[in-house]
Amino acid sequence: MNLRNLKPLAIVMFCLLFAFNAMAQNGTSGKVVNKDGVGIPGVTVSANGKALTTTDANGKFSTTVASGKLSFTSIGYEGATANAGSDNTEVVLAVQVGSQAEVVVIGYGSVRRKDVTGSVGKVTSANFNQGAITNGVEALQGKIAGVAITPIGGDPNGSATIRIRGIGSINGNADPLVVLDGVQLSDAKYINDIPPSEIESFDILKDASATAIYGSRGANGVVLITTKKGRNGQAKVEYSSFLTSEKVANTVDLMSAGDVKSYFAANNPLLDGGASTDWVKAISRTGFTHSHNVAVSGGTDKFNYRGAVGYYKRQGVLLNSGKDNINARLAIEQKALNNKMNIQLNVIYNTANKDFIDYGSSTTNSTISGVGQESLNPFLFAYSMNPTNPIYNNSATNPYGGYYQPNQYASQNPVAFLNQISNKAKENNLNTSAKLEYSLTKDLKAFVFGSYNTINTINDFFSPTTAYNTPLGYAKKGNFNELNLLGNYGLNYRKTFAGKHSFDATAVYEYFKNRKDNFEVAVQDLKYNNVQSNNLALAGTVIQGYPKSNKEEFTIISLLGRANYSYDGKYFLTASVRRDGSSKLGINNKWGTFPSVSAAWAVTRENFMAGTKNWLNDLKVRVGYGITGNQNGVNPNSSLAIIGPGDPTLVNGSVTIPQVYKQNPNLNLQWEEKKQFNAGIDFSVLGNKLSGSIDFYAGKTDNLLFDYSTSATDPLIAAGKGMIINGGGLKNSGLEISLSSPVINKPDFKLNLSGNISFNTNEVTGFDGKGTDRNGNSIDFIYGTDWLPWGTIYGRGLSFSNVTFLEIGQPLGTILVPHYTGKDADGNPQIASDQRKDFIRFNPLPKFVYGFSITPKYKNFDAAINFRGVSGNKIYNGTLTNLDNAGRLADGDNVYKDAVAHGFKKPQISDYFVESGSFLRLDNMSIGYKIPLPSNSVIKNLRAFVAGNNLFIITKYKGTDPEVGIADNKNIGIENINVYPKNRSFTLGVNVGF
Amino acid sequence: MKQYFKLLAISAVLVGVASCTKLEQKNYSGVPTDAIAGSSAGPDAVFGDGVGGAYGKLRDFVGNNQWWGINEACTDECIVPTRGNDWGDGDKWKDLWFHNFRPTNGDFYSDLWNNSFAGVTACNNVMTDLNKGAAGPYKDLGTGSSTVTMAQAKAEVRALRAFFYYVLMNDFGNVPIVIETTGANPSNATDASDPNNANNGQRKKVYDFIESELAAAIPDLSTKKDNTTYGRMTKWAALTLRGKMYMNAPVYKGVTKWAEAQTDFEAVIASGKYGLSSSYTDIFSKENAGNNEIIFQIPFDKVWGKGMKIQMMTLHYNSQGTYRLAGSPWNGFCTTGEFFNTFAAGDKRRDQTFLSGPAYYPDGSPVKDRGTPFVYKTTVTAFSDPNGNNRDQGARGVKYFPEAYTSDNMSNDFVFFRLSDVMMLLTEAKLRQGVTDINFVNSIRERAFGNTSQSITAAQLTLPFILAERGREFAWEGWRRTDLIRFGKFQDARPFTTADASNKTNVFPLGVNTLNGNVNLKQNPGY
Repeated sequence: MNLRNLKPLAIVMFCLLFAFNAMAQNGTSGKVVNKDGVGIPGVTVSANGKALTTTDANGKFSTTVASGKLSFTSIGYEGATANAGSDNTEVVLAVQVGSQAEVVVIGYGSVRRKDVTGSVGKVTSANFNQGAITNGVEALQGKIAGVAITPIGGDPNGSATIRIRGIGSINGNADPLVVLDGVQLSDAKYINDIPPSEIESFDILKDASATAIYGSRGANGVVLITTKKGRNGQAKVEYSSFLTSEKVANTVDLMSAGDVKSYFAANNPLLDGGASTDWVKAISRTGFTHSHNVAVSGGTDKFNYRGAVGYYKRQGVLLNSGKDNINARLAIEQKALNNKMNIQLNVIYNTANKDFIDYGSSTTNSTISGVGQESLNPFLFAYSMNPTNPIYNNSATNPYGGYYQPNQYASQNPVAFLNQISNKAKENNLNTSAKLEYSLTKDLKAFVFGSYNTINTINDFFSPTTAYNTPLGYAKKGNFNELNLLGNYGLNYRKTFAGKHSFDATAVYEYFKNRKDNFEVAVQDLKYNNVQSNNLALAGTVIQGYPKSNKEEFTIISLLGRANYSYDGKYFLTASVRRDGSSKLGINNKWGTFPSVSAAWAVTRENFMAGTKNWLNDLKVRVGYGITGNQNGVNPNSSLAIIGPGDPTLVNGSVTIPQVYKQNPNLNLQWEEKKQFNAGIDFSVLGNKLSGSIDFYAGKTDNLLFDYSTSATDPLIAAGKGMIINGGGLKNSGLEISLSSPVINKPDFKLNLSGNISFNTNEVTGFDGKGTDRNGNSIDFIYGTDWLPWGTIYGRGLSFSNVTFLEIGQPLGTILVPHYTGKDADGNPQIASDQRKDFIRFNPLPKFVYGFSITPKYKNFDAAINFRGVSGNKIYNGTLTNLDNAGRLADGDNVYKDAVAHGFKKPQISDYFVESGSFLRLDNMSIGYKIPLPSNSVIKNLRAFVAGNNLFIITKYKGTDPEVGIADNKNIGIENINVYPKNRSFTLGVNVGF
Repeated sequence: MKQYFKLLAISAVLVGVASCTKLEQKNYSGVPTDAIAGSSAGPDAVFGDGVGGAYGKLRDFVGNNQWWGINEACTDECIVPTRGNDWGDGDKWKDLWFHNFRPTNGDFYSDLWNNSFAGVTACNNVMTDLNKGAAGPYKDLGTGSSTVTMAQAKAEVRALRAFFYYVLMNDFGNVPIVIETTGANPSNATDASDPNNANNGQRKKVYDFIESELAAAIPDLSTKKDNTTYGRMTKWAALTLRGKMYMNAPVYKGVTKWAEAQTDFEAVIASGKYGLSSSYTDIFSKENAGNNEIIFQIPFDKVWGKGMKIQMMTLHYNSQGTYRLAGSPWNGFCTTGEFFNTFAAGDKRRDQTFLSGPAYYPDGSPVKDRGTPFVYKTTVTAFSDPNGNNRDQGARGVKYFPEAYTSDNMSNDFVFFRLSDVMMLLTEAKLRQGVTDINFVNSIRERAFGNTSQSITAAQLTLPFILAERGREFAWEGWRRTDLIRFGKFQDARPFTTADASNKTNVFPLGVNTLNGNVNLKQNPGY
């Protein structure tokens, strides 16, 4: 039968059904829609296992069944049930992850999953991790192959780092570009300011053919965030709330106060301070978080809206650390002029009060100038402080505000440190955008998009005169402003010729501007501790170098185009090109072109594959190649000669601040350039019972931003400064496999299994590069070596010692340390050789990382169990290098629990402290129950859940946690002693819909 | 309507493209570079800012990992024992004491190299800008009035640059000569000839360069000694520098220059600008800025000129309370019992230089360490002690007396050149030419003992006496290594060590980072 002939018949039937429905008072009718409120055609409606009807082209259905339950199923969607009997039933079906029906956002547009030619991962809100999620990306931890998301321990103010397909930069910033509803964020850390409950989906562009549309900002991958929108229908009110309690998950095993006391009794009783203090316990606490969100949404077919407000307050597991946060958002969409025009407005405002603690991490805002890192480390103090020391000393002559201080090098009371020093920031982030689309013809659409994003941060730092490090006190206040403007407009042409040739072409002009300015003052000689940093004028001295202010700006101008062509749904070709001009770069290299091409072949659509249909439901083969860039590590004026204040000159009783050259110009400065090839398949087999993707990629990044520290014989203009040059290279290649299976998909019982694994190898390929001299002539910068020192560990007697290196032919941050051979008679650890050539090499990067989820649903119960792990990496345990050292007991310091048994008398870097970093973690587990409600209830929807995060970990690693912070590339493979402990949390939550 | 919107959209696109294609690089906070290098900001900025920045680089010289620490901790007057876990630091302090200098000793040698060349570069920038800029007169750094001629401006920059090169030549031997006219090329080469061989090419070239630069500069340098020339290269500082270089000319170039040294030193003394300070401690105190014995110093200030931290490097941790310091000191640098005992009874310089004996807090209560009252012991019994039982060993350097409420930002100016040194060197230069003159030595000793009881006779004035007296008078002032090399004693055995196998140790190795950063540099022989 010819389908075309059926069409009128269908229309007649539809009209009949409609008419029938209007008459039938006892039947059930309604609409089956997707998340966006768009009707889904072809959904099977059944009762008691018997199919009744399917939905029409608009998703509408009608049946005579008027009681009991109706089930709704469709390939590519999660099933759902609804009570029969209403003539206004609305059923929402969630798209199954990875199904061909999924809409995938690809930047400046979106396509159906079946048309995708690059490597793109997607997670929608239905599949987010649940629990104490205060940062959106934590919701997709472990969900997408090739996307590694690592939180900074349990720091409530830390940003999780996101690394897509390995680490693609050495000195530059390896963060991906984050795009929020079309707004390109200036820094990935601002994901923190997007309310997680308002996020509808994440689309991750992984391969260069997909990211090339973002040109010089796309090399580290792109994270596209789509927020929830209102949709056609009755107004809906949603309230969600959770309460979380969290604790330090694990700490270093130290000698107990009792053991230390007996050791002192046997060796030097004078060291016994008489108290018994668990210092780690003394600085930690059970942190409580409560979170509340209210959202209102609704609309007509012309207009829809969604507004939400949210609040949360989180206490960190360490004293005096925490964050409270308020956000508000509004999204509206209006159609006009016979639906030819579409206007969207989107506003997100977030205000956060952050209470930092200072531990030498990039997330903290301030340090006391002139005080070294070793003097600012609450963990080091807590681990090594004599456990027989008391916390408080209330003697009248104690100058330390009632706290006991041991008056000993690198040893301070950590409780005093955390309680006395106040380190706060208030951050306001306003993000607004507007989009106007107009259909010029049926096929041609024009659009204009603009966004305005302003971020204001006020930092307050205060250390009283009673603090150990600051007998004169120290206070600092700073104001930091950031402005981002983005505007683009373009045309989109979409047409299908002769039924088989489909074109979709987009051309865009874009303008992006980022401006930052700041002002900061620091003072000492405080007269009144109680005013903290609120009245700097009362202080006696302004710290040298303050007040200071700065303003900088950069602009990126782009022209880009993309064309998709597909033939008969079988063959797909995508080509894109972007031309970027960036004001940050050297005058000789401001403009660059980033092309890509990719193709796909839907094999199972071929007639000759008909025979395999019974088991091979879908198979698509993809290949792609693209060139992308990264300019994250470049400051707006990195290419210029900069003059600024030098060391003061003290002549004739007065102080003159000379203006001197502070930066060497590099007129050739350019972006890092990445070329990547990708090949993959998407498949679905066994009646769609198992689907997945396999991707292979290989790429090389050249012209890496390199901070070339010169030998100063170079006649460069800035005395003693290096130059940011483009040099060296880095290779990343890997394999990603993701699988998902709706093992059971019955209306009452569903079970989804999904998992992913990704392998990555990384290799440094060189360092040498090009820059310019003071006259602008191009010169080569050649390193006379094939290795450079990289990450360091520090501690008493260790100075800042290198344990990781950049070596040509080896992974980034390769651990290279001497081999441990035993102890000598004194208890000093011996090493086989102190010659570099005899050192042992270890890979700090995992061979593979993996995650898998089990999500069962039974009647009103739902659950999610998410595991995540890494395998094959090594960690240099800097904490134990410091603490596994019985020699320190002689000073009264506490040590690792086995230190006396091991008997080392000094810290010695060796492979003894290199440990496996492999782990398997139960990251997240949740159980929810949808409370049944009477059909006339005001409350439409009520669900309660419990969730746990970081419930257990299987690892051989002896440090606090094998997932050491990788925020800074220099810390890859190293656990230094400044790691905010990882937390374990339990959450109780409720979602209510009205 | 439809047509209207089409038109609107298309014109919006055109307007937009026309208005937003400018890729302007705005430099809001940076000073335009030609404000310094040319006429727009006037000549004052060229000279005043430039030379001020170059002087500022000197503050980096006085640190444990810098010129002072490296030049001190390899001599008999200063030792950094490994005390338990502290000061292990990959054995770099041990390697210094045992003269096992290694290019990989942390960033020691690269930092010394970089700091010195940073000074050179800063001077080269001023010279470049002076060559480009107006003819002057320039504003004087000290008086603020525009009285400095082009010749005077250039003279000061050249003399300061010569000082940086002197440090480089004295410590490394082979260094490339980079001046303002050197072509722009990061690959300045040196040859691999032995800097300890008098026929060495490169070290000789650097020596000749310094000599000719100073000769050119001296006539135009300021002859004043007052607030306006505080911390600056005057004629007298340049003469002292040249005299000191002449004294070691046999080492640098294989020639003797005793007579030339004598001439320079006599000119400094004859200027009448300087006198021996009546108080030895005043020369190094936190109020030492205007002391009339000082010829050239690095101005330090707890607020404005940070970096002076000898108190932190030497004192025991718990002495923080004794001196009310802003941080816990590091318990490192000290002197050996052998050196401590070279001071005769009654020599006040011993206790003015070194701290020994029991330590107390200001309220009279004893400082305690590991539970027991703490005593600074003068004898160092072992270089390293895994149990840290040597942590109370070695008398500590308090010549630059600790300053309350400071840590690594003491206000004491660091003294490079002072009259006493000029007097002692003049005495030595004459003696080496066969002339015995005991007057200067005796006035120095009179100050040290408070009377003339310890004056020496002409017969007692020998070269070994001079070296020993220099040790006592100039302990911890950074010149001991230079003196020992001149006397051929640098390779001698010290406590816990044997004599060096060769004189390769007369220069330090180039740091591994230095060599990595410039493929054309050659390591010094033997390293």
